[in-house]
Amino acid sequence: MNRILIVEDEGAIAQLIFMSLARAGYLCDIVQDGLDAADAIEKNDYELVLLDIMLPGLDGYELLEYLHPMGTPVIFITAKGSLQDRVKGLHLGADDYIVKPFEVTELVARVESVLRRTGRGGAVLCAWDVQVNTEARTVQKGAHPVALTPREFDLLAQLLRNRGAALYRDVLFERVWGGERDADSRTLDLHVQRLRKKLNWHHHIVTVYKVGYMLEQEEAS
Amino acid sequence: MKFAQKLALTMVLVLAVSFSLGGTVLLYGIFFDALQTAAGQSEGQHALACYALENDLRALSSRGEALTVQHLAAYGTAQTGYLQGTAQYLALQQTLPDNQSGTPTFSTFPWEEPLEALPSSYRVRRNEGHTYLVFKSALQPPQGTEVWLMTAYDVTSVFAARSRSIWRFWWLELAVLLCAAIAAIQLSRWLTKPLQALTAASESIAQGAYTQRTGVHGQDEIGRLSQSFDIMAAAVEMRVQALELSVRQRDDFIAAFTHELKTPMTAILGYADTLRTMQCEPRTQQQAANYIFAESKRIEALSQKLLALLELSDKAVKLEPVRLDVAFCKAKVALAPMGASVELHFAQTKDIVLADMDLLLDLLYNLVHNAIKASELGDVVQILCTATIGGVRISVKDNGCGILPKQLARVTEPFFMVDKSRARKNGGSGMGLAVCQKIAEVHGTQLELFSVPSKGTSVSFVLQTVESEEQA
Repeated sequence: MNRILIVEDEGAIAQLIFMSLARAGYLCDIVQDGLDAADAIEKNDYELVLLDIMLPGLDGYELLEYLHPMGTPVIFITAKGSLQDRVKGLHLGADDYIVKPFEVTELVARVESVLRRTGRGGAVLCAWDVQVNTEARTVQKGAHPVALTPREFDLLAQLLRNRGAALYRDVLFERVWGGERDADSRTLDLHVQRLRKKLNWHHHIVTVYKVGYMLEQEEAS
Repeated sequence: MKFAQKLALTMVLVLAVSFSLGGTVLLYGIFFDALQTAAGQSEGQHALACYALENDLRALSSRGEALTVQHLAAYGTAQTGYLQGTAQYLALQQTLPDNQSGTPTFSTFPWEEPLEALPSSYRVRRNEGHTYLVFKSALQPPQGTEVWLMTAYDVTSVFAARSRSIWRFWWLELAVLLCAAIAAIQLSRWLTKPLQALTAASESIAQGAYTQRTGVHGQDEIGRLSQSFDIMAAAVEMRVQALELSVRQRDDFIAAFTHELKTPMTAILGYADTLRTMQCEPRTQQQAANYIFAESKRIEALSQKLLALLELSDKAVKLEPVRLDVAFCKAKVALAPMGASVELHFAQTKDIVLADMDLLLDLLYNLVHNAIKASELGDVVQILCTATIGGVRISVKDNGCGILPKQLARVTEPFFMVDKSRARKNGGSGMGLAVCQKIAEVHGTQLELFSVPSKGTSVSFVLQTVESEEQA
């Protein structure tokens, strides 16, 4: 499991990031100032650090200099969106740069991509015996590959990234089918049926009455 | 065409016209004098010839001989001897009934001269490169028949002299004009040099070099123009600088404002997205809604402060006499809900100040509010009044946490917060002191801040007092 450190002094935002990443299956720690962040980094081995720049105690740039020799990938999260700020951040060795206001789906995608790029996983989402490679867009159940259509794959990825949450039908539909308004929302049900069949997940993908669908959390064994 | 060229051309043109006119008048005067002299001499000679012929004819008559063509021819031939070498011609003609053909009886003229009276004493005739004066006279001999005597005198030299003079004059004029043109060009360049400097300066100013000046001095019109131009350029430079400063301040302000908006926006966006995406647990749902509510409140507070600031910038505030003790009383009431945690000490005063009551209350409220936020439970916050020159100094003093010197200079900047996280927890927007500063400016004063970290802060401003007689 990937451990991620969130360094953000705004409680609301830290909580938001924590919630989104937890749903996508990441373990996260939150610290609210630079000195605590340095301590946390010292004590634990993180796969990734999400770093705000304006921090009480040590600021983001100083922390980055401290983190860089350890080889831990860093994503800056900041309201400073000017080109100079981005260049400065990337020059100092940040792996990515997210400017507020951002959308959580974008944040999760960036986290995955940085983890993948730095060879710390992220490309593979797992649930029970199913492994989903988001980079190669392949699915394996046990030792056997499963053939999915692109829409089925996107749907599966959405479910995997929001495990344990009952997703609303129309939002699911909007995210997977994008702006295609002519597609019938019945299509969603059809795709869910097919996913259940192909992965033999008849019980894992739960239909939530009047809401939509949910992928069960894996029982800790 | 450049002004210098125009000036030079005009000078040369005026010179050429006046020189030519003067020269022409002079030359023709000399020529006419010479011609008159030549004509007078020729006329005398002609008169002599007439006299000689008349004498001869009279002698012929007295001898009782008739006038014949042969006689006239012989006379003419005899007279021609005197005329040799002087390029003069003589012709005689008798108007006889048998001689109506018009051919002269005797003529040395190389051309045919008609037999008719001249309108003036002589006429000018050109022939083969020579110029002659022709005289004609009709004689009445006793024989009864009219005899004409015509003479022509060569005056080529007079005309040749004129031509030579004209040529000489042309060359002279050419040389003079050439020299004059060179002088005029140099002169006009020298005269228009300040204009060039002026043009160069105005062009570079137009291109944005507002510090440029002409550097032309002098008491003439151009010098004065340059000086007033320099004054204008200085005024423009000042305005442009002021404008640039205000634009930069506005840009900074907008940048700070959008920066300030981004954090609450992110939270609102993220939690709203969570709520619309999935059905969360009721606890999470409420937490998300709370975050959205709190962050929206923050944006609202920010926009209200911003609006207050903008209103202060736009509107002209009318200052009226305000009783300070009344203002303090009202402030005490407004501060009552949050003033419970500290002791508020308002100074006793009878001063009347020039102020806008609502703004003054706002100012006091904000400053005291800040002092309370900086203080611990049970601390004392004092509002003091001390008389100064022309007014009263009002100070809000606390014994709270204080502000570091490097931060003290920035606290009145919009959106600046000494402790970002703590300020936000208290619902601060970083705009409070910026609004206070603006209110102080409207009242013609400045906020003066003194602070010692962990000892306390004092913020003061001066208000103008009004004499107590006016109050009555």
